[in-house]
Amino acid sequence: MDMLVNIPGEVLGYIENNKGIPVSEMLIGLSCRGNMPASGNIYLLADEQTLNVLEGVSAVDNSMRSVFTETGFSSYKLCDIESFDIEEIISGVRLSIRLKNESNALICESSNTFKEPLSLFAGYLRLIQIGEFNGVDEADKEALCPGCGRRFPDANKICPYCADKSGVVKRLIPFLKRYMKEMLTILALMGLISAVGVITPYLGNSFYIDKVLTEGGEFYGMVTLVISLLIAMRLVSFAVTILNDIVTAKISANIVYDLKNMIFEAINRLSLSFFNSRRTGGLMTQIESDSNTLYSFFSEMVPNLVVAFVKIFAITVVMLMMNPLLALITVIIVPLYVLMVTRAFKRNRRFWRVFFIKSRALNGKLTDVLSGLRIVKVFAKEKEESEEFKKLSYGKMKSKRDRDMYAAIVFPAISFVLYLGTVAVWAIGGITVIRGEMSYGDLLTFVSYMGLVYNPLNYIINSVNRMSECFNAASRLFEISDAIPDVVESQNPVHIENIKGEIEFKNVSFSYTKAKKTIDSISFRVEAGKTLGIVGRTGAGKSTIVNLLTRLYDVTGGEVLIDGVNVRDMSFKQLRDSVAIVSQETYLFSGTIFENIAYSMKNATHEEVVEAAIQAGAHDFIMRLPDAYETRIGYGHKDLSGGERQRISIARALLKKPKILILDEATAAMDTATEKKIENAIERLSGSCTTIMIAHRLSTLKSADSLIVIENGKLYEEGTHTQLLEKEGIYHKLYTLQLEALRNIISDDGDEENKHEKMPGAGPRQRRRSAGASI
Amino acid sequence: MDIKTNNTVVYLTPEFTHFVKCSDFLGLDITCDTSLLKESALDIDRKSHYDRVKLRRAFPFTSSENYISVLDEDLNEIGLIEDITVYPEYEIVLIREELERVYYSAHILKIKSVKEKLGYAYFAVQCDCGDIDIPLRDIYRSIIRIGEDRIVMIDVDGNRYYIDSVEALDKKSRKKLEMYI
Repeated sequence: MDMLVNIPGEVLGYIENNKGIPVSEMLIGLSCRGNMPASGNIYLLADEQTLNVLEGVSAVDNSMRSVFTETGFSSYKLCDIESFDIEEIISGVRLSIRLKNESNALICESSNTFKEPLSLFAGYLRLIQIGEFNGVDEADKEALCPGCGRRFPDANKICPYCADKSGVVKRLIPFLKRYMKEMLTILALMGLISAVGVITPYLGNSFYIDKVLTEGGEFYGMVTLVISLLIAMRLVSFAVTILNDIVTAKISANIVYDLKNMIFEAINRLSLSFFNSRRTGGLMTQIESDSNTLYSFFSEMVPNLVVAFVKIFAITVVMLMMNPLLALITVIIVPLYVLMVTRAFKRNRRFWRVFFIKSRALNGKLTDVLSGLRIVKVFAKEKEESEEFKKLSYGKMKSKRDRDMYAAIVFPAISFVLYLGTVAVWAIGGITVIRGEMSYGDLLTFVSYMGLVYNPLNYIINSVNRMSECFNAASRLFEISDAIPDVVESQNPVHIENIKGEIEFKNVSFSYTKAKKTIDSISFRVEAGKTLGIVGRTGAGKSTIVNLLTRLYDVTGGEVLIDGVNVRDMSFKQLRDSVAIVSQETYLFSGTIFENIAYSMKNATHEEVVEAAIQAGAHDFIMRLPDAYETRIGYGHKDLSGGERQRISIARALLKKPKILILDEATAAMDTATEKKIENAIERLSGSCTTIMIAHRLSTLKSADSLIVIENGKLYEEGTHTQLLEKEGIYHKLYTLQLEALRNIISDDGDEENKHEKMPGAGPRQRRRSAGASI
Repeated sequence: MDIKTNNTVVYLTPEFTHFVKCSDFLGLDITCDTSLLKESALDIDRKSHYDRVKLRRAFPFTSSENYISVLDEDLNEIGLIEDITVYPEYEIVLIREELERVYYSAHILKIKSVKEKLGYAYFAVQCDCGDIDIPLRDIYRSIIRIGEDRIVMIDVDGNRYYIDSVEALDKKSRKKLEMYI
């Protein structure tokens, strides 16, 4: 038995023994939790004839065995079931059946967690009913994280709860290797800076006081020597720092560049379905910030951490060598310090976070009020808005005050503890100096070294959090770069010489999710140069047909042929070169109108672009803009209306002189006059290019050579406008409906116009409106 | 009989509607001439008997028993109940039971821990129905304030969990929540 969600062993045993149902003969099973606290678990099992529904609870008995107690059981013959209904209720989902005797039965109510498995279950039951069940798809089976038993929160089956961070580190190593040379350079330079930092206290204290200033010292009186050495040291440190910064700046740019390229290439390679299952909003911003985080990891964190550890180690060794007793005092203080700082940082971060949230709320309010200022004034809500603002502003102020107060008290307190440690070293060190066991210079050097330990320590403590940020960023980036596209280009593509543009769909089926077929065994043929209109309600599957033709998705059954060649065998380049799509959602890039039209064809000439714009009915409005074809559009520039944008995208499609042109609701945002112009342009193209048109307004499709009517993913009617009207089927119904709607508008407008006749100046606008209406 | 309609909404009253139990579902009988209800702008043909009607609250957060929309299986509104308590006791029980089933959500009593992992947050909480682990995606959008003191959390699957009063939570839970609201 294939299980969508596993049924526990004791329940299966119960079913077999108490219900006499041979579990091994079942085809499909699922367990889910009821959506109410009082309801127990529900187990669904089905074979070719029957659907069994068992309800009950499992509990652990005295001997620690799991025992199942039944609270309800029912079973239904599949042949008695007319349909399955999945109803989404707020608390979850309800699976019910409609029986052939017209009565309804509730199968189960479960929480939203089981929405998908239950929909799939219903889908598979339908397949069993019609004898097309071939087992449950592996991807549909519930997968739990083997580590913690939690469900995966999204389709990529990574459990965030126990994601293996070492895996991410392993993935980062090749990157480290790629920049090994630069990183080693940075490491060496940083090592040099640190070495200079370690030597300087010795030179300035022990050496200077004991050997230069003390009578009888090896270099007694040679002050200039020490001063020169100190200056030289500082100069070396200065030069090395500059060098280090230059190298870092250089590689940082390279790393960010490489990372972004890698991700961007991955994004372009991936199929549309990848983005459908994820929120793409802010994807690029996320990538931007993630690659910056990773860059700082490579160019700053890794070298700094290495240096910090080496520094602490070296200083500890030197301190132990100088005076083990004093070193011990330091070693006692250090853990105390680490503990305090870690806690303080943690709390401080909370304060910052609260502050960040309060600021966001305040900024949100500010943006809201400023952009809706007119509304605020019109409804005289200034006072209320001010009060709301004051409240939020107080929240921000308070969070800032808390944050600053905390920092003002805690961090000096930590410094004080540190200071006590230093005082202890001074005291004990002083005694050892008086006893003559240690020179004064050495004591000073020792105290300087103590101070040197804290900086790298702070860095390491701070890095712990930044480290996890880096791993999160890396795993998000790897998720994209590792994803495998569903639609893969053929290894040995067939090249069609001189594509004619003949399209054929042979028994094509497709589904976005396993439970529901979006396209169900559709077959049709469009001869080269002809126009096909696709008619259907919203969600009927019209746009999906286009997506399948262009291989934005691959068919799940049947085949799509262009000039007799399966689109799967064509190269992406040839396929997409020969097909142009203008869809309802137009996207124009930032740049000039010329650049936007020329996007589809490299090195397009001015003449070609203007020609395409004229064909698309865009030339007129473009010429009315002061900068004409060189008007900059996109974010922060000229705003075009929906119809204007649409015409530019049509021009873009026409420019590349495609063999197949697809207009997916392309003229929906236009007035009838413009639409007519475009229709004429398309008619002129006919013969040289096969056109597929999808439109709600049936008048747009009237002139098509043939029409197909799609409903619920199935092809219902096929023929010309006249043939379909004669058939009096779905097309006829839709056409009549739209015709009636138009008549209503005209008669309403007529009435309005009569009213406005007495009001001079109001008439023409009304007349224009009526001219703009269409079916 | 006084049928209150205002050209857009038909208000259902006990005078001409009766809620009944039809096998596992809530059914509805309309006893008046259904053509009287035709003034509605929605203009659907109402039947005199429904095997199965659906209920939706118009103000789910603030008013649980007023303005209840009664819909047919295709989600066309048959009418609106202004106040369910005007119905006979037996029918009120049926309506309440259906509303409870449609809207049931767990109520959070205590937040035990919050762990942020790879862009998700796991809230280990104690609810009125036991201890659960709530996985949230996009934390800031998944925790929504409703009114001054109430909060709803929506987990990765779309399940809802309510905190009836943030003030009434214990101090530790409040501190844990404070970071996200």
